[in-house]
Amino acid sequence: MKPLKILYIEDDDSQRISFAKILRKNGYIVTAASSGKKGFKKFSKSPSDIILCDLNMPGIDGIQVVKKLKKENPQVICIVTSAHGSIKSAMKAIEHGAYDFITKPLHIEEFNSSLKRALEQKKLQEEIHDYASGLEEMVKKRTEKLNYANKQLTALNKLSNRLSKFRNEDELINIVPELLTKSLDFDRSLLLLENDGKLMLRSFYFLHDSKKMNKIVKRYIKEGNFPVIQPMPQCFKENRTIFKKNIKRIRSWEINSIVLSKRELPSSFVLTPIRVKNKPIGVLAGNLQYHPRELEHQDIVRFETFANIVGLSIDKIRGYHNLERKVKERTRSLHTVYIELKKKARQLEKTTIDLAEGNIQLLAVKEILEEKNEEMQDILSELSQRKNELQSLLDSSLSGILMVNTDGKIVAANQVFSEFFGVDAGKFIQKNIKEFNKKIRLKFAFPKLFNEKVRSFLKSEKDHSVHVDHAAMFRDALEVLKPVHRYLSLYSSIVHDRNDKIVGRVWAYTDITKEKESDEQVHAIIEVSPLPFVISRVYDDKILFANKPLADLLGYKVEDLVGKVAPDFYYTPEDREIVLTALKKDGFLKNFETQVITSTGEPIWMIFSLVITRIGSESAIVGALYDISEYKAALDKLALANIEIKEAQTQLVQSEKMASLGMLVAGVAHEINNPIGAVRSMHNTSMRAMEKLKTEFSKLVVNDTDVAKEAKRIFQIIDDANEVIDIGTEKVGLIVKQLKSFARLDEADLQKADIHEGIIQALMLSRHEMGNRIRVVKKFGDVPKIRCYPAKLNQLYLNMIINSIQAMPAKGTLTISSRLIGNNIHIKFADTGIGIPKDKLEKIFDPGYTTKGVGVGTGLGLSICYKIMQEHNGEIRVKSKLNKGTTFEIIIPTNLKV
Amino acid sequence: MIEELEWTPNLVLVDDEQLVLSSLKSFLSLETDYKINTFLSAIEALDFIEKNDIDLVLSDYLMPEMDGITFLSKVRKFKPEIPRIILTGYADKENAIKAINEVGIFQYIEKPWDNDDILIIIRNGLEKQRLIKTLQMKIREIDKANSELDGLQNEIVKAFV
Repeated sequence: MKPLKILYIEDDDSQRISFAKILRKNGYIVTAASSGKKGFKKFSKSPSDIILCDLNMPGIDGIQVVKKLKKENPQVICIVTSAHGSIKSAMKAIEHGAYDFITKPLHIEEFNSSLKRALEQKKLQEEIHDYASGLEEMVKKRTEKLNYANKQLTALNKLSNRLSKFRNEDELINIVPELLTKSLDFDRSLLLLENDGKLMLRSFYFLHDSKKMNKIVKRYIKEGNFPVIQPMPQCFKENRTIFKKNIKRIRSWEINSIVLSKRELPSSFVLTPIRVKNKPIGVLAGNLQYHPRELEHQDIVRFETFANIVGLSIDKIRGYHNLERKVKERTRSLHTVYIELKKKARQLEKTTIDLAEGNIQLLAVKEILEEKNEEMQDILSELSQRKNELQSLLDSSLSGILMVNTDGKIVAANQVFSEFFGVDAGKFIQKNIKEFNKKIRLKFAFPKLFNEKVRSFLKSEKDHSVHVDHAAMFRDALEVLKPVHRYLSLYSSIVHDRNDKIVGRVWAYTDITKEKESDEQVHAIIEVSPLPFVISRVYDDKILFANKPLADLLGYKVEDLVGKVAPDFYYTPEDREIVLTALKKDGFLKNFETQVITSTGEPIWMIFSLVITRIGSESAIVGALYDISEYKAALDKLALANIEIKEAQTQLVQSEKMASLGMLVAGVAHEINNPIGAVRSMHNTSMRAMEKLKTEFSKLVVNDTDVAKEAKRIFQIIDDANEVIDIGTEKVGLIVKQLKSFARLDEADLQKADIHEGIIQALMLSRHEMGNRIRVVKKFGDVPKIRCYPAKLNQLYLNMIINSIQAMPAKGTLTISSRLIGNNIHIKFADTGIGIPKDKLEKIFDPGYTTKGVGVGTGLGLSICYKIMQEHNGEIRVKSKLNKGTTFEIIIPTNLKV
Repeated sequence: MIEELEWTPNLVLVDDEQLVLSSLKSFLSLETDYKINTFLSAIEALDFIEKNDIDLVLSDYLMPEMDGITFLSKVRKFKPEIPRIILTGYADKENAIKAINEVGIFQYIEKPWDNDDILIIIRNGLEKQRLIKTLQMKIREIDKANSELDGLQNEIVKAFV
């Protein structure tokens, strides 16, 4: 047989080269192409018997290759190769005429067997073609066979699809025998899997056997005590397919006793290993017992293919399960670790908190202990200090002090007390008060009354203070009654221990007779005084006493004033401080003026003198006051009047100055007016006369004579002179006119005037001051004539201009602008001068304020300007920047009404 | 037909300043054939006006004896038909208007004056005066004719009686 020619089309270079090599080794003549297009070319050059073509290629894919080549060359055998899982397209290729498909990676055995089949098929076809005419039967048989094979192939393919969907190994295993039986047309199928070196039956399918048989086998499987196949079948050991045909007797090792050949029917069987990664993991067994057909080579191939598919599927499932299990295990262990860690963390946290709490408590206890210790120390030292203090207090007190405990025993007494009662009280310490009472020589004139009071104190268990201010009789040592007026201040205080239990009572006696008497005198004096008087206590500033004149003045009743706090009456709290400071320093204060708040809240001016003195047992301030509000008011008025007078005076002086200047100007103007009028008129007359003379002269004298020429020259000189005189006198006349107009002394009344005219006149008058150094820019807007006092406004303009000029000692520009805004005319005088300092800007309108020396300027202060603007209901504003210039703005209403 | 009045106007000028009087007189003499009478004293001027047939009076405002307004108002009292002109150094229109209203002044002239202005004003004043005079003359002629007619009538009545 001559070698077969193969066209191998594969886009992957390495695959193509390596497999082509293998093909050549196996005795094929190989033409390789890297694309469909190239394949077509090579085929047309040299047709081959077999096309081996990859399905998935860029450009023309395997299906198209098959389609085209198969159509043009039906005799060609096409086998397609495809990646695992692209069975669908492989099926499509088969539909288009491909014989078979081989899953990548390619194995030569697979290719060989596939090719073998293809060749057989081809051969069959050829045979069919050869024997078509006479051998119908054979054709039919062959066709049937072919159909059958085809059906099985299709079934196998479907099977493969189906099996690849399983995810559970048991399910897969359970279904495999049934599928095998049905799709490959067997009678019985078994699936055995290796476990621990033994082959175990895992699933089966008996198509034609009795139910009983099925049940028995099922039970075995369920119970797991299915007898293993011993020894390992040859196919498993050798990893190859065993195929027996038409045997009458089955050896026990080949198929266990359960797959019994029930009858003596001839039986065929196939045993093929199920491979995972090319290692056998079990055995797939098929048995034809009842079937009439014979097992053929194709059946074996399909069977093997089926087993391979099962192996692949199991491998896939196991791989998947393995992965899943691993992931699960890993997750579980991680979770366990996490939980443990969490637990540990929680324990740790708790321990830490416990420790911290314990620590804090310990610290707190320690602190408390330390504090207590310190306190104890303090208390101890304080106690001893107190004891000493108490003794010195007792000794230094001016009052007589006696302390008695609840048993009536004398606990302490001081020297004053002893002297007061004429008995050495020290001797009675720790003795009952009754013994002491017996010894004292002092007897009260009204002992009953006194005792009643004392008793009432004792009953009440409270602190008491009382002035016993009735007359008392004292007996002297000789028991002679001496009537003496005595005022006693008696103070009794309960002594408590720390638990508020009464442990005794202290008595303090003070003889306040002297103070009492002097107080009364003071009160009496103040009471009758027509001047307001007040007495206030030093320590709490409370008013102890006030007389009626004061109460009347402040708008209170005397009773209301008493008890009020003195500082509340100060209108200026700072004054109070001044008073206190003075009193502390000197003990008195004289003629202090301050404002005092009355009952209505209105302050009134008062003058007062204060002195610190003792009233009764207390330090007090005695004050004599006097109402000076009227005097103050008069003083304020006077000050105001003074200011006004000064202002008025300044204005008067300024006005006077201006007025007299005006008068002078007007007078001068008037005086000049007549002569200049006469001169101008006369000059005009003389010119007219001259003209007439010329006319007459020309009648008398013949032209072009010497006389005529000379006369003409003289006339010319006269004309020139006249022209100069004319211009000169006209100018003088104009100046006079303007002077008069400017002064406008006769125009005190309100009248309509053109503000521009006034400004121009003012500029004219100040031209001398300006010289050449000041440039004047006029930006006059369209403004109406206004009702005003023209003479006054003219003064104002002049003043503004002069000020500006004086602000610009060197060169500068004065810009005068006017504008109508609403109902007001705004006139601005802006210079580029030295400017006005900020602090002086506020004062410039004050009367008499000047930065210029006396006699400089026109004598019109800006205050007059201000006044003028007030008279016009207008405003004057100023803006200035140092060394940049000043702008005065004048705002005059156009509708002035007076 | 009314005959043109053959007439040399007779003017009185009053000012306390000789300079003004001289210049005005010189000018008017040069330009016109008016008869010019000048007075430094308003009182003398009044006397003269009373006694003579005067066609126009021009007076200064500010004078020591009496001011121009007073003077002209006196002139009006006995010679109301004479046009009166006031010459003033004050540019005070209000006063001028007051004067015109109160004293019936023909015109006011500001000092310093313009010769042309003053000439026109005087001419206008005289024109008015001339018209008045012509009117008076015509009235007189009518009166004369009327009285002549009256005489004739009387003679006719006598002849009949």
